[in-house]
Amino acid sequence: MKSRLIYLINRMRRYRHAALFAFATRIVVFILGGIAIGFLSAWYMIDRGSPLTTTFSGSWSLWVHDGDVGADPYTLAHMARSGRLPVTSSNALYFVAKRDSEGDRLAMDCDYVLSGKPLDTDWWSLALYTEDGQPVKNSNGRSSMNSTTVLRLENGNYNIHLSKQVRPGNWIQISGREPIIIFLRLYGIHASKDFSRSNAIEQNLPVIRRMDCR
Amino acid sequence: MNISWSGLLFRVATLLVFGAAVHISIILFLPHFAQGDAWARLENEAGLNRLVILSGNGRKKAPIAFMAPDVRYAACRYDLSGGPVQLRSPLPNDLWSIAFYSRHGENYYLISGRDVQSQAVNLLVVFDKTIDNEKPGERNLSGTGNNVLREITVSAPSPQGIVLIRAPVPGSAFASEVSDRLKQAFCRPVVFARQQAAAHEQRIGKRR
Repeated sequence: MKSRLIYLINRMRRYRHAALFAFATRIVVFILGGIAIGFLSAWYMIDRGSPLTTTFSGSWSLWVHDGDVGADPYTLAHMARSGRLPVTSSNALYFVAKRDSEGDRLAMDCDYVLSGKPLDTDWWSLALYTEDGQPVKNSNGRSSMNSTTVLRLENGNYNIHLSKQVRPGNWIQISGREPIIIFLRLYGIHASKDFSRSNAIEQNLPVIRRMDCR
Repeated sequence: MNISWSGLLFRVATLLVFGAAVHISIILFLPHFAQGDAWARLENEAGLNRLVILSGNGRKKAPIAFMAPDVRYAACRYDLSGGPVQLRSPLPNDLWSIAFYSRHGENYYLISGRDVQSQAVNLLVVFDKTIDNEKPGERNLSGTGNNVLREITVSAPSPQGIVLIRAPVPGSAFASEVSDRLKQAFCRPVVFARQQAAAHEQRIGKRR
């Protein structure tokens, strides 16, 4: 009788341990799952943006309230993570491109042509960066082009070549295999909140066409 | 394991609510704990209340991410706990600008060459919430016409922040001219400016 009682107690203990273990496993999976969901969704919305914070136009994205006082928490988190100090969106706009017109990641082992139309702004500057925010290094030390230096066609449009080999006209040298980020800064935006004007600017942004890849 | 639909739904909903809580916490706390924000990066460049010309093309990592290669920058991390800070800078053309940021990068005030038709501007940064930056206090310190030196009082929303001067370089021919002009800018505590003025007065007094 006594031995049967001990057997039952041991069995209950084992069962309790197994149940506790199963419960603890479920809790750990639940916590890890929640953290993964929270972390990945936050990273996506801070890095890429969403319609709540960002407008997308072809290859270009724009954080609408970059630098603004009272900007939404996503924009504030995006700015803190990026380490940038943008001017308020009523004075400047910062368009960013990470992909070409086909949606492929921009990289230094391909050649590109950027074809743009005149932009209704005081001054613009287009610059190439590596992913950590450093200007692209090349042999001629030029990693940007601006509205003063760019050579234009008769109708005011322009083409900028990004390639390893020298090209006539507007040329920025790229070589290597790293991904590229292109920033287009528009300074002297006096009425960016005016929808028709913003729309005109977005329609005239350069189209990024990929040519050959090495 | 036999789980009913309602039990499964409850578990998924709980998981999503927990995930949303994690998501909101990350978004809200990131600006306060980000190690690579502009303030943290500029700490390596210069002490408080000092203007430093930033180099974006050197070998070391750029002090601000994504600096425009055709813009020269100068930055001052200010701390108003010891009193107001004075910033003086040329604004020689429409493209130059001086932007004031909170500790977390909100651009609360901006003045450009387009706004001020003078070769230099004196900005007094104070921590005084009674001042409206939309109607800043403004007076002429010296000079006339385009050579007038204006002083504008700017109210900071918190004691710490950053001032960033942007000086676009339209082409390489303008590089040295822009750099020379930028070197004329400075940032310093007003107490220090007063001490200097007092020392100057003393020196003059001794000579007399």
